[in-house]
Amino acid sequence: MHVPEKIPCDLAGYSSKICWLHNLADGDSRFEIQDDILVCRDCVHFKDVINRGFGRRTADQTLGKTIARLLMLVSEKTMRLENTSRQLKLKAEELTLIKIITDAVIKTTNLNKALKIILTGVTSGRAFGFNRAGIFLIDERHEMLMGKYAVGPRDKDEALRIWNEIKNLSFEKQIENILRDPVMELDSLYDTVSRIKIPLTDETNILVKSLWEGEPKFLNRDSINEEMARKIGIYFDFNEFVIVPLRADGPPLGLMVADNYYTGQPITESSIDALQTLATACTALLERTLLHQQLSDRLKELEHFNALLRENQNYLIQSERLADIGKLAATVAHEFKTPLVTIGGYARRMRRMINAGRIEKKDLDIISSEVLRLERITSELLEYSRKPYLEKKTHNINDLVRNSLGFMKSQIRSSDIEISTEFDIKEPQVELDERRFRQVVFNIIGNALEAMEPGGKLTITTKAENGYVELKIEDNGKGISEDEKEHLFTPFFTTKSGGSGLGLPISKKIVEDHGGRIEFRSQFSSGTQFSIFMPQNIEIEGGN
Amino acid sequence: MHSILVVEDEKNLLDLYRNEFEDVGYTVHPAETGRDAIDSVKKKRPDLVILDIKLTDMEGLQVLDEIKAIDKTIPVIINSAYSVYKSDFSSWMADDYIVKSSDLSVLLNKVRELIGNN
Repeated sequence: MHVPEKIPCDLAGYSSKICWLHNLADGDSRFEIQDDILVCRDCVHFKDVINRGFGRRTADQTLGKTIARLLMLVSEKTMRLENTSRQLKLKAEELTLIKIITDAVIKTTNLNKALKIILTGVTSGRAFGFNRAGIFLIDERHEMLMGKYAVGPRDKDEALRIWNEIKNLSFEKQIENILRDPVMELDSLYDTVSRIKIPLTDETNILVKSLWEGEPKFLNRDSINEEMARKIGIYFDFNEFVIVPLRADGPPLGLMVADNYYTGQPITESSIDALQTLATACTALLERTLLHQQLSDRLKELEHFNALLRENQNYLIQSERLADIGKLAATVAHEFKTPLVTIGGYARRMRRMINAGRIEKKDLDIISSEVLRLERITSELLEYSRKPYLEKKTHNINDLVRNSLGFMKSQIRSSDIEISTEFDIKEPQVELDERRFRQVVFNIIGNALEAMEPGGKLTITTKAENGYVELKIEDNGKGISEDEKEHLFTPFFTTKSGGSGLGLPISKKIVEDHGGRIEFRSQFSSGTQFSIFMPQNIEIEGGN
Repeated sequence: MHSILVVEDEKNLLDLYRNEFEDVGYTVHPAETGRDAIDSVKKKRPDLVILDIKLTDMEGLQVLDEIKAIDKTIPVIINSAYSVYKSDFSSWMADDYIVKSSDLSVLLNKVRELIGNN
């Protein structure tokens, strides 16, 4: 069998190709027409045939057929080009629309508005042209896929009405209206879709299933099983619909569902592609909007909690104050009641004794001492509740403590306590109200003396640190129990018989009125250490 | 002669009770603390106890509990400045409850009611 020599194309730049015309002229039909007609149009062999016209030769007949086939091919190519051009135009229109949509979504921080803008685009006749469309987003906190928004008519009648209404309204105008509305009007499908909540674990649900698969999906009644169809049917009637994921680089955000339920127009592959392009373009923007929404929700929540907290705090302070007042009143009442009962009891006794002529001086003394006690409680209460008015002067705290010890000499002697002092302070000047501060010193030293057995040791030191003068009074007495520690500064809490229970609360108040503080440490049965810190507002020069 | 244990941490008040009850012929055992009161019940077996609730060393209601554990037939009258303990379950063990007053006639009547005159 004759195998024709494969002659390469003459044209410069095409020498790697084989000249089909030349080979065809030899009558070999195995050479099929290739897609290189543009090349052939410039080819000398081709031009020669055109110029020569058709003859009777077999070669000419073959060439004639070939040319006819070529012409057909040209017309096919032209049609294909026209089609491509139309598609390109549509693509361009889609892209323009996507740009309009994304530009608009960027302008809003309101999630519903952003969703409505996107879905209005999807249902706009100008490019995507779906009848209805909805967006579902993942709610991570509740592990649900939640219906968020939907655009489209509820039924055929509404479809006709809406389409007539917006017939003369450009897409740009619609978007503009959505952005401008201070209170956005929710679409009628919103109610339906916002009720849809699907657990993310329910993989028998086609929406959840598609979420993880990450690809656009075209579905109709034939392509999903009965169970899935039933589940979708709970939410909306459908014939065929498309699901596209909302997914950028990270995990899916949710998905978009669209269909042509009212017109029944088939969903084409190109419209699915377009929808996916839009979905991808919008995902990042939606992420941003969601984040904004979450932040503003969180902020609102925080503001709400803050307000609640403030309210509760006020309430607590109020009720604590009331409880304190109530407790104080009860304790004051009790503190007064005992001496009153005693006084009254003795008075009654004396009245009876007058008749018998046996009044005893001892009974009268008791009445006087109980009255004194009442007077003392009253003045301490007044002291405790007085407004913090201080007559402050600069005093040497070392001298003040020495003087106070002098005043207490007899009490110290009778307690048989050894006292050691260590006034390790170079600049002992403190601004204070002498009388009140002395009261604090008396009270704390007095307590220490009472807490110790004869032979006990009291150590008193002063030192300056961090702008405060510390006066430390340390005893090796019986110490304070854990239970007592808690109530040490509570008015009328006393463990001493005859104690008013106001000594330490008043001391604390006096020190705090000066801007200082009282601290204590105590080991039960081995001693207590009180520290009074008084602020030193006087400039201290670096000393020697 | 009937004997009464009076438990009261206020010395002056305790003296008053002692004088008043002795004047009408009772023997009075005074106790200033809960511990003393319990000891006194053990040793002296009084015919009646007048018990204050606020004591310096113990809760009066605990003292009541211990007294009744020693001898539940000894009547105990709670004598307190507070009326709130009346609603305290632990005070129900007491035979009576009196709110402290300078008028001792109420207390005296209760004592007579429970153990009779001397």
